Amino acid sequence: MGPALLSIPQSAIRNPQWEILICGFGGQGVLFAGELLGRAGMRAGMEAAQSASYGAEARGSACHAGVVLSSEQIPYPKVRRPDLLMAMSQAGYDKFVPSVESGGTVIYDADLVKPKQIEGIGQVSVGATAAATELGRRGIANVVMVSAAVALTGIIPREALRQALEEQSPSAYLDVNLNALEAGWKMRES
Amino acid sequence: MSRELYPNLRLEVFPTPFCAGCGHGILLGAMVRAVNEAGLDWDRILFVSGIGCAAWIPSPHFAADTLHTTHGRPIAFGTGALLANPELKVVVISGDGDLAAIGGNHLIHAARRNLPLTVVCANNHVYGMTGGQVAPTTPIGDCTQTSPWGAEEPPFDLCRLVDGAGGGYVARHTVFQIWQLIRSLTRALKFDGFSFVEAVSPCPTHYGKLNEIPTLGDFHRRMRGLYIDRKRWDKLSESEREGKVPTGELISR
Amino acid sequence: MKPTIERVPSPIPPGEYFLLGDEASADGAVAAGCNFFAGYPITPASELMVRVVHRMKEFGGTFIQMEDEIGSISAMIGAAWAGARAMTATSGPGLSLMLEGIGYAAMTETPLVVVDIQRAGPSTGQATRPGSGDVFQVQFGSHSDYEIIALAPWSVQEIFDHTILAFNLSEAYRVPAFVMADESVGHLREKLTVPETVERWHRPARPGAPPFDTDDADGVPPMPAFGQGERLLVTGSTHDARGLRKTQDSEVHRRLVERLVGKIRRAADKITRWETYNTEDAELLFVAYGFSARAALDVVMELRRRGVRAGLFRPVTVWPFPERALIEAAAGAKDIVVPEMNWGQMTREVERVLHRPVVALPQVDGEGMRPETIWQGIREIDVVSREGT
Repeated sequence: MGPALLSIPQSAIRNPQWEILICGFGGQGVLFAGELLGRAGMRAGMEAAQSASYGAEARGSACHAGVVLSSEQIPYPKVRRPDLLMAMSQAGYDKFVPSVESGGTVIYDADLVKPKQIEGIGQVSVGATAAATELGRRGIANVVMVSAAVALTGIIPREALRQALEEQSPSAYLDVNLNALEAGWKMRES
Repeated sequence: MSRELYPNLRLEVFPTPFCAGCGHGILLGAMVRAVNEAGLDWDRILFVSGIGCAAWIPSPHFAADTLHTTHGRPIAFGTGALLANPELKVVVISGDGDLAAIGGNHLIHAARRNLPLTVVCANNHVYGMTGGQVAPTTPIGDCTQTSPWGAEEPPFDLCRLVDGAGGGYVARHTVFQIWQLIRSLTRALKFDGFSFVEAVSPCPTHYGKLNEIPTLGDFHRRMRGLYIDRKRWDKLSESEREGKVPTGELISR
Repeated sequence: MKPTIERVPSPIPPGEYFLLGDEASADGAVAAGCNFFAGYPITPASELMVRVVHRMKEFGGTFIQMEDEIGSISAMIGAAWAGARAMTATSGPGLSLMLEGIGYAAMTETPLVVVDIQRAGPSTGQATRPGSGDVFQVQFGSHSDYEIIALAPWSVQEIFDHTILAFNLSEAYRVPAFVMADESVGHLREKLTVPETVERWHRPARPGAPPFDTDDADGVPPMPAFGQGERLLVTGSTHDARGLRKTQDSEVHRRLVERLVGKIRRAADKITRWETYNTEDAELLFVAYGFSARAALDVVMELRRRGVRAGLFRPVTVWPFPERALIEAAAGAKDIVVPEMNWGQMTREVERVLHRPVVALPQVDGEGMRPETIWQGIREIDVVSREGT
């Protein structure tokens, strides 16, 4: 599937604002991914707000991060109806898919999510976990996912994403994270 | 009050509010002597106290910075002052109810941290200011307003408590052991770490009245039998120690 | 006594950051010159404390984790009198414990800053979920009469700015100052722009002057510190100008309490801050603060698009409450609606000020205020018929 299939959601035209939700479980770096996306938006000159579900800090429990990107001030900073859902777990997919804005997009990890047939939204499979495993570190699937989503939708220029990743990544993980960005970006062509 | 103490006191607030026979006045004098003995600068010393009769020993009598805090919290207040200005010598003087009951948690944590804080507990085994209620230090069997048939709960041994929590210097004396008390206070003030001195102080008004110890003299006689200097204590058998309390410099590490 | 205002280069490098509200507050504290932090772990304020640990190491301040919140506030007061700019961060349950020290700080006129990242209560409630139920607790939680200052940030930028402002106001008026954020702002990540320079207010020293009374019109005496040879008497009991306990003197007590309350009430017009959005011709006026105000603004903007004359009045200082400004903003409004994440606390204050019934829109489900809650609430106010008029 190529980018041509990804139409800009109606809500984004009416209101120059993107609502993005990333869901998964603790330990996958969902919050890191949310922060990265928000930071990249900010570096691209947009207004950005990122919120997250906070529970007991346990690995394996469901979690999600919301990102709002806009060319204008963001009055309400939480995600209500995502224009873009990035699903890294089946449970998260099942829970949040009904809230996706009509005309919106779902990008899911091919290894972790079995999609349902849903009218009115586009769904794209991304081999994030597979790509991360290939790079030798499953833990960077989150970066692959964000990179692929950014590439496929074109919300943020690549340079801004890279700058955000350089800022946010612990120095020991920077190289591997940059590889993940590269791998994710390539998925635009696949 | 000896004239040599005058420069370090706010004479305009005297006489003290302490009852006749109260031991806190003796501790007041001993403290001033110890500060001078230790060669401390009265402009660089902060006395912190909580709520209760003993809290009035430094505040307002001492001509130094004094901080009269909420009940049980002087050690926490003092910890903050010390950390903010390590040049200050911070000395907490308060009672057993203040330091061991409501403020017990702050006491053990300050001992654990072993910051150079000196804590002096005037222990009269009772809540004096509120009329004489049972304290966590009241010996079993002793009568107070709220233990009219004799205290039933075992009391804290404050020195062992502070020792167990990690305090570096621990000493105990009655106010009748005046020279030893001044010496231990002096050492405590100069100690580089957490120092704790328990000064056992008579309260004839509220404690003595209910336990047939009506005067200072009666307290003196009773305490002489109960509080045994460590040198003698070490030679006592287990059975001879029963019901008695060791005094002296107990810990210095 | 007027504070001197110093403008210093920001110790935090100027620029744009993508930070959590909690983290921005920690950086604001450093920018304000905070050099003492005593705290105790509590959700959702722990991120703030954790960042402060590193910031204090970097900028040379003192951090201590105390044995409980009573210890934290007590240590702060001791530190403030030893000359430090002291702060803590907590949430409802911790604030409940700190109230003893808040009363003491008010009585002894000790400047300090408490950042309250409010969560859903009562009691332990929902530790990770937002609430805004501390409105009355910060002002009236400790016994008897006193005044404090409380700011309610609604964004990451504002929690940074408010932390600085809280330090400055606290110094200027010698009162505890609160930054009353909530979990939704504390855990929100947004852009923070750190400016080139920041303002720091200082109380001018007046050696030898009594620290607890003044003839100055503002009623704020100068404040010396321990270790300066002033031989201070500081007490939470009723005291005279020098700090000497006067627990039987009714005149001293009356004068003291009157000044503690009066120094803030008289200066209310100078201290209070608020913002208005489309209130000039508003028939439907929302009064909201903190995170709830963002949901309210979202609704106001949509209502305006639909032709409804809606507006938002946002108290930036919750205490002192911006009474005069609210009366003005509400003059032409037919309906006043107060959405908040508690069961109508500010609603009472709004009713008291306006002497008229207002519509309370409480949302107490442990979620950040949702625009949907407000939409649902105003359905009954016949907003629809005003559309396009």
